[in-house]
Amino acid sequence: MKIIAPLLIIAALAAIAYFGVEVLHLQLLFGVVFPYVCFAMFVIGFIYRIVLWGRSAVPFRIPTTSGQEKSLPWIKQNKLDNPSSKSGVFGRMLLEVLTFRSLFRNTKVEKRKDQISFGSAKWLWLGALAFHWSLLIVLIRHLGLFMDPIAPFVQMVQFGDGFLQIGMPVFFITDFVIVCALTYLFLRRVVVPKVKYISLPADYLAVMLLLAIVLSGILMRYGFKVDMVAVKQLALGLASFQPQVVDGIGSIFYVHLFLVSFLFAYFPLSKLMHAGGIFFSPTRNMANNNRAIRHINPWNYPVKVHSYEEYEDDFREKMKKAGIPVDRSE
Amino acid sequence: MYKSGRVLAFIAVFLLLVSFPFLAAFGNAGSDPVYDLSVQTSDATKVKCVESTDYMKSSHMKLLQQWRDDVVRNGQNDFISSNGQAIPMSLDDTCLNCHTDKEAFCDSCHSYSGVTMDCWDCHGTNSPDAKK
Repeated sequence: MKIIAPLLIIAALAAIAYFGVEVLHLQLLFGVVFPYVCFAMFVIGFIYRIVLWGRSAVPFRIPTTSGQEKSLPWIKQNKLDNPSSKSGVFGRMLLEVLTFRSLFRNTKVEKRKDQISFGSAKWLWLGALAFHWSLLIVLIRHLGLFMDPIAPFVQMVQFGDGFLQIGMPVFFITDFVIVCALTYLFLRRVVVPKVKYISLPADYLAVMLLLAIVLSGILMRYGFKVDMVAVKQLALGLASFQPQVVDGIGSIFYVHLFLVSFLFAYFPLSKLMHAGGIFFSPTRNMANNNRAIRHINPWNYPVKVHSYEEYEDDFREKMKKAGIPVDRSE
Repeated sequence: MYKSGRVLAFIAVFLLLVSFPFLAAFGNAGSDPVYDLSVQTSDATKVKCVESTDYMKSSHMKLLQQWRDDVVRNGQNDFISSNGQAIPMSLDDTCLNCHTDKEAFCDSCHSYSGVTMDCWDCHGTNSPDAKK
């Protein structure tokens, strides 16, 4: 059920787009209105969640210390895994974002001969890295749709992606890699019992939605051809805020576009927000300078206290009568 | 907001990234490829198109790929079009015979939509400047 529900959602979305364009001819709705609305939801929702996170206090310095902290001069500090300065944090975050070092440290616990053993588990890291980098290259390739003429760096990425020069139209390496990576990320949640147990429908929806988008794009490129000139006219019109409905684009394009629109709208509501959230991870974005600098809880507010001196002032005479020693006699 | 400077800077970077397509397309509204499907041959009686313009527009890549397979792999040399005429399967001897300006007939749309192919790397065309 956890898998079937998101599958049905995606199938319904694809069917809606196909039916809407093929039968009802709602090109304007699926080609212009939904992309704009969903993109606006993405941008506003993204910023809303960032601001929400920015407003929540982080009362404690809790950087994960994964190496030797800054100590005496002759003890070598691990500047990346236990940064004590802003530049160290920058390096740590940069490598976290670009190479997923936290996932690289992923370990697997096994029981071997009545002993617990920890082994390294790199597959998740590899799958995640392959997916995210492929996605970046695919996105850069798509930027060509919004440029006339197409910028050289986009053409270079396109050329490099089709470097193997297999087939016609030329086969893109990232198309293959992203399908493999997403399939792995999906199967992982199906095959590994423990991961399956903690997976929610939303987890499957994210992976399967991406897979559906990728597959519809691949189908469009290698299978049913669409009119690329018309697609580009539509894209340029959208991006220059003078949208036009272009006739003659195949329905598969609208399925692709509608799924992408849905992804954009869904993005801020989902765990896909880790794209922004990773920068707000307190365990990664803080310097471990707890002993060098005094950190004051940002929640702190002036507390009204009644000190012992004031207490004594209140009861000095009574205390004297009762024979209790006082700090000041008056 | 805590550390509002950094959060605002992050939002600014995000906005810059998502507005990239809009910046790239700035002023490009309604830009269309300038192509020319007209016939540039002296003898108008010889003109016979392979298939209809609509079909060629949408499916020429499939047709040419089929031609390649038929000629190179299956050893056939004639294509029977939908209206029954036999046409030699050669791009140079058919389409480019009448549409001599490859720049206007092929390249303008291809470069507009970012479709690149390596056919021309080896195959010459009838246009004099294409053979280098």
